[in-house]
Amino acid sequence: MIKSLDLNYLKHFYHYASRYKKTTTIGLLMMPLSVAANVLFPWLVIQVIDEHLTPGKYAGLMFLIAAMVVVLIVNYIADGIYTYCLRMTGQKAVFDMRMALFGRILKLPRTYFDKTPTGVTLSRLTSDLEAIGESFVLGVLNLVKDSINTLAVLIFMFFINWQLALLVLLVFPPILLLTQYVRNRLREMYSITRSSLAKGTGFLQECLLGVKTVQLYGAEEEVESKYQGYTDDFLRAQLKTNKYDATLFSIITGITSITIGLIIWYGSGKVLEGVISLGVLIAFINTLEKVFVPLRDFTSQIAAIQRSFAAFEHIEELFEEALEEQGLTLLPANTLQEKLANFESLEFKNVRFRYGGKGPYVLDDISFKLNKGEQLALVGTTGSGKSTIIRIMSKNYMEYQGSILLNGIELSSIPKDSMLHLFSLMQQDVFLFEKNIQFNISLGASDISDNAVIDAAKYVYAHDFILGLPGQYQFELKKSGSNLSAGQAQLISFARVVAQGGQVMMLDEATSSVDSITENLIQKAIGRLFEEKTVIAIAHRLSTIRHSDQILVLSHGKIVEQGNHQNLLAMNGVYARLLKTEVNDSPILTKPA
Amino acid sequence: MTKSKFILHYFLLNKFSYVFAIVCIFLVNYLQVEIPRYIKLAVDLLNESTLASKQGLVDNVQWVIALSVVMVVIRILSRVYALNPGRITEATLKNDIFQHLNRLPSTFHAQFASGKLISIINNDLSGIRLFYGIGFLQLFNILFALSLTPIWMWKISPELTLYSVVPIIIASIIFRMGFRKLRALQAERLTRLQNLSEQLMNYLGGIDLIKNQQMGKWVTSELNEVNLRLLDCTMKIAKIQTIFMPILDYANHFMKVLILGLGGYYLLQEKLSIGEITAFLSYSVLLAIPLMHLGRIVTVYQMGMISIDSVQNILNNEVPSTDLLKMDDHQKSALRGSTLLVQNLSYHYPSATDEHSEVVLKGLNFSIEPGEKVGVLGSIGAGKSTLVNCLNHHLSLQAGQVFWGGKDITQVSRQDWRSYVRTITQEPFLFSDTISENVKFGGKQQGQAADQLDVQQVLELSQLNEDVRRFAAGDQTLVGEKGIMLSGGQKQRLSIARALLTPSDLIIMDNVLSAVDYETERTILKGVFNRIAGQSLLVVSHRVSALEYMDKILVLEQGEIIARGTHAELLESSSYYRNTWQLQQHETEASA
Repeated sequence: MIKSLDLNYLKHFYHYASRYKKTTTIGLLMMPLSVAANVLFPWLVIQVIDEHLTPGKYAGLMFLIAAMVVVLIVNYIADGIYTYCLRMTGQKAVFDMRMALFGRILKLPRTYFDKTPTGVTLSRLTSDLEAIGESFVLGVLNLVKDSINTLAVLIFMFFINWQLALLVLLVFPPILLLTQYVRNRLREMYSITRSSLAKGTGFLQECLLGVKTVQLYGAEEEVESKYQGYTDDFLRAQLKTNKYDATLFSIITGITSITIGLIIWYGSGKVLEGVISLGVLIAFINTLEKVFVPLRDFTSQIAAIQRSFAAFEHIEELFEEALEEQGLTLLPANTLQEKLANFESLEFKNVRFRYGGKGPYVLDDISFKLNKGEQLALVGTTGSGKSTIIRIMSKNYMEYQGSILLNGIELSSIPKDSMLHLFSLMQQDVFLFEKNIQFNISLGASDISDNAVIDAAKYVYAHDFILGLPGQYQFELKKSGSNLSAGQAQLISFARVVAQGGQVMMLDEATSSVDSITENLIQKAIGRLFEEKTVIAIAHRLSTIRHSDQILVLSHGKIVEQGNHQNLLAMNGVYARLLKTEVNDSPILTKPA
Repeated sequence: MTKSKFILHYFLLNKFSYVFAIVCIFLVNYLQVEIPRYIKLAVDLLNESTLASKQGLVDNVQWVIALSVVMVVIRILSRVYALNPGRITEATLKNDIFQHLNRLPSTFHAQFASGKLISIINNDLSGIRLFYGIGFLQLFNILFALSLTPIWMWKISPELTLYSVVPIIIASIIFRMGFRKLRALQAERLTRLQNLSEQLMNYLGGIDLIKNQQMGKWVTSELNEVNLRLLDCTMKIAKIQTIFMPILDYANHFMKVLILGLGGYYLLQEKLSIGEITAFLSYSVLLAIPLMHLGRIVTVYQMGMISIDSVQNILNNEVPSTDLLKMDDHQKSALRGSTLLVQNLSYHYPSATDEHSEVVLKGLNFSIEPGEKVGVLGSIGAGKSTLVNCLNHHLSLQAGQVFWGGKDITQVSRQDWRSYVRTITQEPFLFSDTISENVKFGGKQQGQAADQLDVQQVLELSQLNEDVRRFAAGDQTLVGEKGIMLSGGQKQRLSIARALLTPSDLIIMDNVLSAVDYETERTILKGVFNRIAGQSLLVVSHRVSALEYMDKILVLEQGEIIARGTHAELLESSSYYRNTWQLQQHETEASA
């Protein structure tokens, strides 16, 4: 009933579940006990009717009744241990899968995050895994238990009377066919519901994150109608699912009573002939529930398992997603440890790059060399490729053409973990944890002392405003630092870069959004950095980078000018012009009348 | 809305469906108890071997089969009409909640993490769907089954009926005990799931930082902790479920044993027939199934109640009543192109420690005449963004401070107010859609079908057109989540294009050109000036260069306007302005 394709999806679940052999074994050992109890019960019913009720014999009846009670108690305990132990296995496997997936996510390339909304990744780790933990584990547990019990009861039936048993079996094929048909329909529906749900959730999340924008643009109704579209798709598929569910459920429930009719009709002749005892007939009628109720529940269990298969499919996708360093031939980390202990040099040789390997080149034929203690500045209009250079250096994007040498070693052959300690990166988008300021600067690194945090804050002139906050360094930030101003958030993130103490400082638009007085302070801090550290900086204030050893002027991904401040000025080209427009405030703005 | 009103409101949404379902559920349950009666007749006829008895037996069997077929049809209807409302309610609530969230002011959104809201909409709404669907179905199934079955049993043997009810009562009591515990645990589990969602959301948001700073170990251990708490709670639930849930199922088996033992005793005393015992055994199942579902329905009910609380937590946050006042077209057009008047505007952020909450804006007074271009210069923490967020009514401010054409803006719905004022925020938020769609964002609402030409035009004005042309897909390029595919400057220019597309009376630019270079800044401002000649403009910046050509510049420092005037006047009168100006002129001296 389960296709081989589906079984493939279970690969990882099986892998993690097989770690918990003990609980699994104990649980499975309970199966035979449970099956025996399940078969013994109807057998005792037959004995009661045929040996005592029909012949009218009272002696020994109470002994049989007591035996039935014992059988029930054994059944209860065995079933309980089976379910609990195996659920434990399942839940622990889900726990491990969540950790494993999260571990993978930390190693996925930037391109994955570019194409996958956060909401989708989030639902993989939450609702999809929940579906596996609840729907799949419980569904399979019940399915296995019910299948084995049903089979045992059927064998028992054959043993007691094969003709009647055959009659019961006759009902099976149409039910199975129907189940199969509905199963396929349901599967289609589930994939629709899953995808419309994921799309809806993704959109919802975007709107919530951007609720301020939605409100400021008065776009409430616009986003609502879009969201409603997703909800409607979801609802339509759900209603269809419901129809199939209802039909299947009702037909299978009804078939029990129809079969009872058939058994009596067929069995009556046999009873009269004395071939079948009344006890057997009644036991059959009563045991039918044990065959048909599971058969009916199969559908809901299968539906639950089906739901989880869609989740498995998603999870498996995430497991299959290529890691950023997968398929690359990397040098072993231990051989690099010494060579990469200190930053020596970084050299770009004719580097070309485009996002996702297609489209226009964002970087085209870039060459430069940065030695220890030097400062490199990237200048150019927005979109000229400055940020891309930094993203490639920090190995956020890897598929560059040409050659990049870090301490003389090709960057693409260095494992990311072996080189990241050399760099401290300050990104365009400031990200703050919902923790206190202390943490947001030290990032929980144990080797950064409280004093080091304060020193870093002083270094970037953030110390004074931090002292003004309630709780000072213990001041708890709200989501994305919403209880700080944009400039303050930037200062914190600046302090963080300093505290992290990488040998190469990468500053991406570090001074934007900071007012000129604070900016001036930062300039001084940067000046200090420029004296002591190796720095790569992108900055719009050309004053920031004036003292750089090397300035690259980029335009449309190409280096158009290269040299230090004096050289470039002398060239009287793009750089000189940029400087001029920044300095010389000629009235190019037309004042409205 | 009170909880009971809430529940009723959504029940009434599908009232016809529910009424029809109730009729069907009743019929199904009636047929269910009728069928064993025919089985009983048939079994009792087995012991007689007359021709008449044989005919009677066949008749009864035919009844059993015919009634079963009818039951199937009605059952399908009952399930469709009882379960659909659950789905419909879920969908309706999703839309309702979203609509509500869209209208709640910033104070609400600052409190609720979006991960939590999503968890409520995804997880808690399932609870509500079950409550309005399967919960309803099972409630009536149980009501009818538990009232009809005992009556039919009573007709056969009152004594045996009374005795066989004993295991049920005992089981129900034990079950209730387990249930109380389960309820508490399930609520706890939901909270833990929410915590997990929130934490993951937070980490995924900062994935680049986490990776670059090699914080993998730390986040993994943090996640491990939350994950472990969830596992722990789940297993506690599993334990309770394993021990208490099957109790009712086993009560049914004990009932069968009782019927066989006691019924057998009555049979031997010839008080009962074997057919009647058979029927009794069938009825015991009919009594047990709803009892088993009783467990589920209580779960569904409890979960539903918890979920409704969660949802009400959102819905009971009232949208300010003024936001519900919609102006008609006449009122709207009367206020077009008015003067913005700010009178003694003060603001402080609401905080837990109210006494110490710092006043961010202190008694500001100024006005923006129609078509006037006003600049605000200020340093970090001066209150620039707060001022912007007061003017566009993003923050909830006191009445009587900001007026538009003489009308207090706190008395105008936010949505109406924002058809006059267009804010370009410091950190632009973009949707993971095409560039073109992002530019058109908000335009559909204004009833203006922005055609391609207009998009081109505003892209040109915001100096983004050339960048767009270089993308392979042009303005159909997908910008990625939060515009990740674009640089900071591109994002800012896109947000300017977006603001310019649809007409408004006052455009507020909150430090929007920080990530673009001076040259681009100038060209953009020039374009904006041309495009919006007749509209008012408020530019907030820390760069003097962006403000020089304004009709009026306000210098904001520590929440107060410390100077005002034109560029030339301020150079004369304000030392702060002059100093800032000189700092930014620093370049000239150095490079000269």
